[in-house]
This record gives sequence, C-alpha cells and structure tokens, in this order.
Amino acid sequence: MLFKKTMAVIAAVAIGLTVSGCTTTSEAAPLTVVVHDSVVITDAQLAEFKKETGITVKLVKAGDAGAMTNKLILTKDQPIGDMFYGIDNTFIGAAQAANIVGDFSAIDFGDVCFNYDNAWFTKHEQAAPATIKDLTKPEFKGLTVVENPSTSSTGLAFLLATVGAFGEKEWIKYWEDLKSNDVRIDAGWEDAYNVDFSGSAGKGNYPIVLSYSSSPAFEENTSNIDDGCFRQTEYAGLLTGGSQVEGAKKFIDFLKSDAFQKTIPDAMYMYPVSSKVALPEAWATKAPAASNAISVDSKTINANRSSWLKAWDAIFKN
Amino acid sequence: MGRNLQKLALWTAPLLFVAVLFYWAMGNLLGLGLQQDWYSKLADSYFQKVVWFTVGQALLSTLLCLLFGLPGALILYRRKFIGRSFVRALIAVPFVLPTIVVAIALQSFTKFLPAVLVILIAHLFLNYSIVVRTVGGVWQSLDREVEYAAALDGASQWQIFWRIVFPQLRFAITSASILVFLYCVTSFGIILLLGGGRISSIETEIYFSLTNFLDFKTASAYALVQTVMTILVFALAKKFGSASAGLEQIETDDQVARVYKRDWPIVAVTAAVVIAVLVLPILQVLSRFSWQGLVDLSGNGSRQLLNISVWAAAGNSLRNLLIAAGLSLLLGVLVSWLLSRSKRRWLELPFLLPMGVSSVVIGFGYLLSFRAGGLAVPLVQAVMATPLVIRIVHPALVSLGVDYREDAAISGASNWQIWRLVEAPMLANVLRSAAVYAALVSLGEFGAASLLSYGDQATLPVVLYQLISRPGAQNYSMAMATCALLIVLVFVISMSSALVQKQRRSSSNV
Repeated sequence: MLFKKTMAVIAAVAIGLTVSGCTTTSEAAPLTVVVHDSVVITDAQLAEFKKETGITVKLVKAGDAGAMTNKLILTKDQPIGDMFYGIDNTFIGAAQAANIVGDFSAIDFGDVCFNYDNAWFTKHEQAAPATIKDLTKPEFKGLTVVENPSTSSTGLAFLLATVGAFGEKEWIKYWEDLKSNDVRIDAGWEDAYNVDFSGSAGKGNYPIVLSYSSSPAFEENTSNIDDGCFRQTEYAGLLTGGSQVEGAKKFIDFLKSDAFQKTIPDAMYMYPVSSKVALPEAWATKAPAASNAISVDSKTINANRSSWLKAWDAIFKN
Repeated sequence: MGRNLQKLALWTAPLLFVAVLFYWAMGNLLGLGLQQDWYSKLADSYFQKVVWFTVGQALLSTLLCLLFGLPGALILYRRKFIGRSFVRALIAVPFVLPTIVVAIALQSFTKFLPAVLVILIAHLFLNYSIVVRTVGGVWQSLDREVEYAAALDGASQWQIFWRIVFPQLRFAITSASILVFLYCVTSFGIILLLGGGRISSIETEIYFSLTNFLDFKTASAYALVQTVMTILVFALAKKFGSASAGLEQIETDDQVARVYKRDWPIVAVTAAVVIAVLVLPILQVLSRFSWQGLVDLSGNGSRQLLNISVWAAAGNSLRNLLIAAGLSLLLGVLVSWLLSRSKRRWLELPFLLPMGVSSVVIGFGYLLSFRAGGLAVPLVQAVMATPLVIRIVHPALVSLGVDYREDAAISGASNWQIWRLVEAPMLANVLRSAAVYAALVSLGEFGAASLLSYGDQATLPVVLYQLISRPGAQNYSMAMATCALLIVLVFVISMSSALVQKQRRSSSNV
C-alpha cells in the first residue's frame, strides 16, 4: 500500500516535471513583449495585430517601470522577452547603461502634476494653491499627499521635477519644508489617489494629491496646478538578445499607429505622442498637458538617482 | 560495511540538491553583495533599527502564541468535549492558509488598531495552532498517574502544572517556539500588506532593495544577519530542546477527562482568542464572498490588471504544488530516515537553514544563477518545504524507537524492507500530514513567487496581492471570492483528514 503511494508520488513529480518542461509549441514562436503593470493592451487589439501580421503576441507584466527595468537588467544574459514597452525617461538611462536595449521610440507621455479638489477649497473658502512652492505655506499644512519616490514612479517623477525646478543644491530644502508642513507619504499612486484624495472615489482627507495632468478629465471637480510638472515619456523598443527583431519592429509600428494611439487616453490615462490623434473632449477642456513641463536629462538621472533617493530617504525615514 | 556505503550514497542526493539550489544560488547573491564594503551597512542606524524591530516583533508574537496557545493545548488535548475535532480542524486553518489571505482577512483590523498590533495579531492567528498541536500532542501522552499521586498528596493544580507537567513539556514548548519565531522573523506577505508600506522588516527591506534598486550590498548584509540568527536559534534549540517533539504526534489513546468546572477561566480565554482572532476574520472574508466575484475570476481584473486569469494562476499554483510537495516529501523523508540512523545530529542543520533565510533571497539567487522558467518557483519552494517535512517526520521516526528496527534487522531485513514494512506503515498519518503541510507551504509561498513568477507563471498568492493592492470594487470582490474559496477548501481538507484519522484509530488495534 505504501509502496503504491510512493510510486504515486514519484509519478506525480515526473508528470509535473514533464508538463512544465514542455513549452507550448505553435507554428511561429510568439513575440514576447515585456510591459509594466499599468499598460493596457486588450485581447481584441492583439487579435487585430495577429490578423494583420500573423504574429502572436505574449504580454509579460513585470512590475512597475522601475522594477521592470531592474528585472530586465538582472536577466540580461537570458532575456525574458524580445522587446519592451513601458520603460520611461527616468529609467531609460539605466537600461542604456546596462546595455539591455536597442532602438526605441516614444509611444505615450504623461505629465505628473498636483491635482486639487475644487469642491473642498470652495467649501473651506480657501484659495487653491497655484505653484508647488505654495505647498510649503502654512495655509496648506497637512493637505497634501505625495507618493514615495522609491516605490512609485509618480513620486520619482516629482522628485526629479524639484531637482529640475530648484537645482541640485536647493531641492532638499524644499522637501524639508514639505515635511514640516505635514505632507503625507503613500507607497503608491493607487493609495494616494484612490484612497487618500478627497476629490476621487475614496473620498479621503487630503484635497491635494500628486497625480497626472490627465486625472481631472475623469473627475467631477478637480484641477491641475500648472507648475512643477514633470514630463514622463514612455518608450517601446528592442531588448538586446531578443530573437524576434522583425516582429518587434512591426509591433512598435502598431503601437505608434493611430488605431492604438487613439485608445491610450481612456485605457492608460496617458497622452498619445501622435499629434494626428484627437484627445477625448473632456481632456481638452479639463486636462490639458502641462504648459511648461520640466525635463531632466536621462543620463543625469541615471547617474544621480540612487544618491537623490537616499537623500530623500534621509529626510523622511526616521 | 555495505550498509554504511549505502547510507553515504543516499546522503549525496539531498545534499547535492540543497547545495546547488540553496547554497550555490545564495552564494552568487552574497558574492555580489560582499564585494563591496557591506559591513558598513551593519553600522547604519536604519539597518539596526530594522533588525531590532524584526526580532522584537517576532519575540512578542512568539510570547503571545505561547500565552494563548498553552491554555488552548490544555482544553483541546487534555479534555474531551462535543465538537472538539471541529475546533481542532478550525484552528489549523489559519496556519495552512497562504499568508496573503491571512493579511487580507485581518486588513479591516487596521482601521481601528495600530498596524504593528495588527501584525502581532496576524502572527497569533497564523501560529496559534503550531503551539496548540505541538504542546498538546505531547501533553496528551504524559503519564497521568504521577499527577494523580501528587494531587492525593495535597499539591494544588498550579503546583502540579509547574513542577510536574511543565518540565515534561519544556521540549515541546521550545520546539514550537522556535518554529513560531522563525516564521515570524521571516514574515513577508503579512508585513508587506498590513504595514501599508510604512513598516519595514528585514524581509521587506531585502525585497525593495533588490527589486527597486538592485542594491545587492544591502540585501546581502540583511541576508547574512538572517543566516547568523537562524544558526543561533537552532543552536539554542539543540541546547534546550530535544528531537522528539514534532508537529504531529502519533496519536495515543484518548483517555482524557471531560471539562472540569475549575477549567472555566481557561476555556473562557481560549474561546475568546479562538473567536475574536481566528473565527471572526474568517467569517468576515466569507461574508464578502459574491457570485459576481466568482464569475470575474476567469477574467483579468479591471483595466487588465492581471496577466492571466485567477483560474490560470490557480492552475500554476497546483502544478507548482505537485512538484514542490513531491520533491520535498521524497527528500525530507530520505533525510529524516538517514538522520535517525546517524549519530551526527548536526547534519540536520544544512537542510534547516533555508527555513530562516528570506525566500526573496533564495529566489533572487536563483534568478542570478539559473534561467528563470516554469521550474524555478517549485524548485525554490521544494527547498523551503523540505525542512518542514524533516521537522515533522524525523521526530516521529525517532519516537518509534529502535526496537522494531533491531528486531527486523536481526531477522535479516534490509534497510528498504524495514522502512517499507515496519516504519512507514506506523508513520502513515505523519507522512500524510507532512505531504499536506509541504503542499500548503508551496501553495502559500509568496516571497520567491512574487519575484520569479511574473507574466503567465503568476501563482495564486501573487495574483491575490495584485488584486488587493489596487483599489477598485471588481478587484476587491475577486480577491474576496478567491480567499473564501481557499478557506473553505482548506477547512474541508483539514476536517476530513481529522475524521479519517479518528476512523482509523477506532478501527485499528494498535
């Protein structure tokens, strides 16, 4: 009886090993695209692409932009995909320095800006903030929630905006002032926007949140602070060591095509790079892109990111 | 002579397995970190704070489990009452649930209690049954005659407990405490989810430093601290404990008394803990079950959150479970058998070390050393489940005693015959438990899986974590539906295995 049981166990292990060892064989190997968690490409769109080109696409979601980049760097000797979509300008420098990416092009962009809840400020008969410097003033004490730059690409974008706006010597002082003004730090955009922000579904306690210039298009009554906005551009490109170069190029063209670019605003809350695509109506009125977005050179970002994040940690982690 | 060679040959397979999949993989990771001046990390005040917090909360959790677990052991293993099997099966549910489900079940506590307290409660929820089963199992088999004699001589209940019972339970208590401490010190999913990103333990720091910064220096420094700590803990165990107190005792006969009047305070405490800490959170999760959530499990969540559907993730988990449990059972039983025949007790240590080291570290080491693929996660899980199998099977094997073996050997039986015909049948229940525990370790494993199983290899806990961390009604209902299903499944397995054991005992004459 026990012998039979032992044999059953061995058989189960053997079957398990064989089943997992067999890769799914299809006529043509699929094109593996590594994406970050917020990328939305529907099955319908992939089916459309397959109809046009005959290529099956396999999406691999690999965390947020930073985690995804690090994963790709770690596995560069045995790449997990043929191409990527979703490394942004804050991490492309790291990817280039580690030699994991080939040619790439921009697909969409977003502006990281503060949003504020108009209804809250009307109710409290207070003027809304106009610049990011205002957030350090006493009348806005304890009203702002910001994401942790170590765990959120949104937070990182704003940290870079402060470096760009105040310079490499003064940006730390700005954050110290924010801290004395009781700014709340959340781990990610989801917590900050959907739980703590008063102007959104979570009906939280904070009327000022670090989000995107496109977010007001989806809310009743919120607006952007058109100051201190950082432009985040997302790229798609080839991974070195990937095998399906032709297929990857076709998919990149597909991502840049008007058909796909048109779906970006509603699905991913980002702006399409194509100027031929019209924005949804609500966006044009309530959520225009920032008029004066800040950019920081990607090589500078890559060289200093760790030390800047450590300096930020020193202020907030005590 | 032949027997010794045979044993040597048998040692090579498990040693090789653990050497390659654990030590070499970890060595690659540490090698990267130790190249730079990692010891400067040890002096860093934040580093020290994280270490002390992790150890502190683990110690407190262990104390809590002992404080409430001992009365529980008394009621559930030394007294008889209607529904005892039901309660025993019930308290086993938390331990075998994936930690991410436990964290989800207790999340609502964070609305009115500070996060650190909820984490301690979660650890109590998880590990309560370890203390109750380990200590209770030994307690029920103690010789009552001595206690009755002492009572006749006029000793009070407390004196009887403190001077007669407690010394005999010391080993079981130590054994249970070590297990609980190690689980709490390497706790990952619970602190990650209930800490809300604001509480850092060694595990979460390793995870973030590796995934967000590729900071091998910090991760290696933490991993080294964990390794030293684990070795110390096991060394202490050897000093104060013994080998014969495992998680499963061979059930002896059930001549226990019914509940006495004077037990009422203990019953009250146990009932309070079981209801408030164990039953209520489970009921809350079950109450949030919705049919819509169940239906949505075949989709990818709102805004295509998941790479694969929850059912597909469950399929991945099942496949991993079969491989990991099968492997760890084979290796664990083999090692237990070899240990029981060997005088070198320290040989247990190389296999037990993975219990105290971060699964994230093991996973990362694996990522660096081998190609990540479908086999990565189950192999890492097998490395982590093997020590548990050893800790369950080895003590039971030792408690069988040497008489049977020696009699059989004198009659000319080979090692394999002794195992197959004498020892294994007596250990049938224990082996079954070990298989179930190994399977459940694999099912609930979160640290390595969250690192290695991205894309279409995602496992159930990974998918659950993704669903619960994105606010949104649909994702939440999907997470609740999955948790409810898991809880019911685990309870049914637990209850049915208890009933099977009861039936077998009453129908056999052993």
